[in-house]
Amino acid sequence: MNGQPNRAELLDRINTLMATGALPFAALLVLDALADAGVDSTLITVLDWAAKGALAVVVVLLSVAVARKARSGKPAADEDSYSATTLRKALAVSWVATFVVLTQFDSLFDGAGILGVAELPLVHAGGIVTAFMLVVLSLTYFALMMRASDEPDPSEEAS
Amino acid sequence: MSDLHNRIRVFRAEHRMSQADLARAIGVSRKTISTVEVGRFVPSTVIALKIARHFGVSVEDVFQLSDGQ
Repeated sequence: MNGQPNRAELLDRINTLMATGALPFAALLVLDALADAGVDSTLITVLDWAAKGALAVVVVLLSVAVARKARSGKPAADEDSYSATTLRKALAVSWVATFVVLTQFDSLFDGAGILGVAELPLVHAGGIVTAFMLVVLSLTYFALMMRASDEPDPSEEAS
Repeated sequence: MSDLHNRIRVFRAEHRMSQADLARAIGVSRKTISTVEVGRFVPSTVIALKIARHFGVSVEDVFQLSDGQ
């Protein structure tokens, strides 16, 4: 058993890091909208720095993984994998969920008066919708990955 | 779960290979092998061919549709 992940493991790691990075990026969009909407508190400042820090860590890890993948040789003829398929499914789910939210925007937000999102400038409403899409993407990806969590491989001990 | 059954676990046992060994041998991740093995992920044609070729058998020896399919 060597410690070097193969190219496929690196691709899985990149997919997982992209899904992970979506969460702090979504948080930054929401916090930015809240700050511009006039919500001013120490908590927002702290959360903003925490999200920036988390995003920076993800970007560094992602850069390292991408660099190692680039050094790992020529691409395989087929780079399909469970994580790549899961990421594609999560993208589809997040797109559909966002489409539904946008088509029901009035009744979901304006009509119900939730957060007064419909009153926000377009740039912030767009940021919040993008944040929603990113959160759905990330949560769907991790839910599907956890559902297929690795069973212990009985032959692993024998090898 | 899919309608695609497979005998990867059997072939691995015969060849005394772990999921990680097989994954390295054909250039996929262990997660991919484990999810194919339990029927949660239907592999691409290329991955199916690589698995069969690695064990020196035909794809039909490794993968079968469930009865009535």
